[in-house]
Amino acid sequence: MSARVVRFNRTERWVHAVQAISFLVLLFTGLAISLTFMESLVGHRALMRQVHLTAAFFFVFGPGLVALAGDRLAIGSDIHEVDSWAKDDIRWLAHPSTSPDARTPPAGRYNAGQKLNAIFTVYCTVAFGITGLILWQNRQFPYSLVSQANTIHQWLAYFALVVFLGHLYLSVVHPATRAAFSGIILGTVGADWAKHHHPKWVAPPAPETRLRGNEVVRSLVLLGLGLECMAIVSRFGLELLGAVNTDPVIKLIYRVTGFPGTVQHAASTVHTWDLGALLWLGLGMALWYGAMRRHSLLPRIFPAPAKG
Amino acid sequence: MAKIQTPRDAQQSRTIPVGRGVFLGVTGLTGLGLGLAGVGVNVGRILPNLSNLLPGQNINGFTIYTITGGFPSMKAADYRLKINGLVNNPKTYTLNDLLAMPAIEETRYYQCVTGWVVPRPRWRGVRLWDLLQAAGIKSEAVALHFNCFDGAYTESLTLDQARQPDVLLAYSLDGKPLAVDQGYPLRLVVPGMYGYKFAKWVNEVTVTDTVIPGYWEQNGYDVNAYIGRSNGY
Repeated sequence: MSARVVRFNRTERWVHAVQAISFLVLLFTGLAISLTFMESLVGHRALMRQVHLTAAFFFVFGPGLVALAGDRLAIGSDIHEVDSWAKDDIRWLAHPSTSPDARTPPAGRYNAGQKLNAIFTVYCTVAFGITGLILWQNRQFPYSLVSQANTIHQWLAYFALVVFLGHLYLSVVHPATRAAFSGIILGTVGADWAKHHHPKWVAPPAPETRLRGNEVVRSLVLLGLGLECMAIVSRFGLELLGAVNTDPVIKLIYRVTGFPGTVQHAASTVHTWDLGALLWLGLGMALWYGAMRRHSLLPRIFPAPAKG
Repeated sequence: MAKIQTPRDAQQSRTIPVGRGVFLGVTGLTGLGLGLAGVGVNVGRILPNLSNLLPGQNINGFTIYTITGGFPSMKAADYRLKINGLVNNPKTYTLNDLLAMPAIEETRYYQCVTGWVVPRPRWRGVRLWDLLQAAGIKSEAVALHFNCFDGAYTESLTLDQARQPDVLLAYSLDGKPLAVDQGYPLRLVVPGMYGYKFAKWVNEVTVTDTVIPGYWEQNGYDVNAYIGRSNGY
């Protein structure tokens, strides 16, 4: 068995998993509430809507929170690699290949296609998030904007479905590239495959370190605090919009953020700045920041890039 | 690991921040698309409604909603419409009774709160107020409560809203009997209100002395559903 190298560390794999799972849930529930034949098979529109909106929360906030709860520097360097393109990357786009040969411009850790896919994913997070918020809170926006958001959300969904199917084909089915699949699930890929497909990538020499119990606890605490803070931020966003709190999803957000001292809304419309919730948000963020600074980050498997 | 950099190495490692450019470009285009709404351009009118192009779609432009697990179906012979509650003479109609009554048509646009519009649906049915008059509304009555045989959906109208002559119980759309997913055999039609008022599979109209909010109204939508005067604007 040939040597294996680490392509994605634990944090990178979890960031991917969180967004992948929430995407699949969003895709299923989204199709279930927009296609007639799916509606006839699944139905239960109110439930599908609630699941869709809950998954959306994890789709939008999840990856960032996992990154911050784990090895944020690794995610930072991923973002940097996707952002910075060498001349070879631009040449690669003109001669893309799933089985690189001598004429294929050499790729780094990510080839140009993978970089475009990553950019598209970030774009989807933002665009689905904004158009989805307008559709969800449709009573708080002009109808022309709701209508526009509906069209964009729907077109983008089908485009993302096509991109997703291509992504799945290349990573699971295509014989030349499916060796990459183990990288995002287990972390490692074959060293020979990596050299052939990503010649400019300097793979880390050491295997991933074992996960220690206290690191798991700290990551879970950071994740929990982060989710709670985002729920309180969402509560403020909804109050700012003047959302109606009889919506079950908003009821849920109010339930998980309804600490002592927060405003308990009896009226159907909420539109107040809630000082109590603001204090809880401050406390949550202080705890979160403390937990992040208190201990060292998860063991980094990528050495810091040499300066100079 | 100090290493002497040759000019060639420097050339190799020089990178351009293409990623953020692509991201900002497509995000900006999307923002522009949303912004076009502000100047009255609807991309939905230029682009076809994509889900309508997919197989198994409803050809007349509706997106189909159901709150239970599927579409309830009922044979015409088994169907009965009940008018009851605060009335002097509770009534029960068969579908044939309704078909035999004077029919009226309404073609005002159908608009859903989630941003889609059917420009000219042709509804045909009986006037709701005629049925209520036949049953004789008692003086303490204030509102109507609609029940549907899917066993879950409900709707409400005040008597003032129900009195409008264009409010129908429709059995036909675009010249054909209602499809099962469009509420066969009978659907409430309230021109000028948002689509959630157009209750499908209606089989009971109860006259009440209070307004009982309908299904989506219990989930946050306005009880008064006039387009342009409710749900935010």
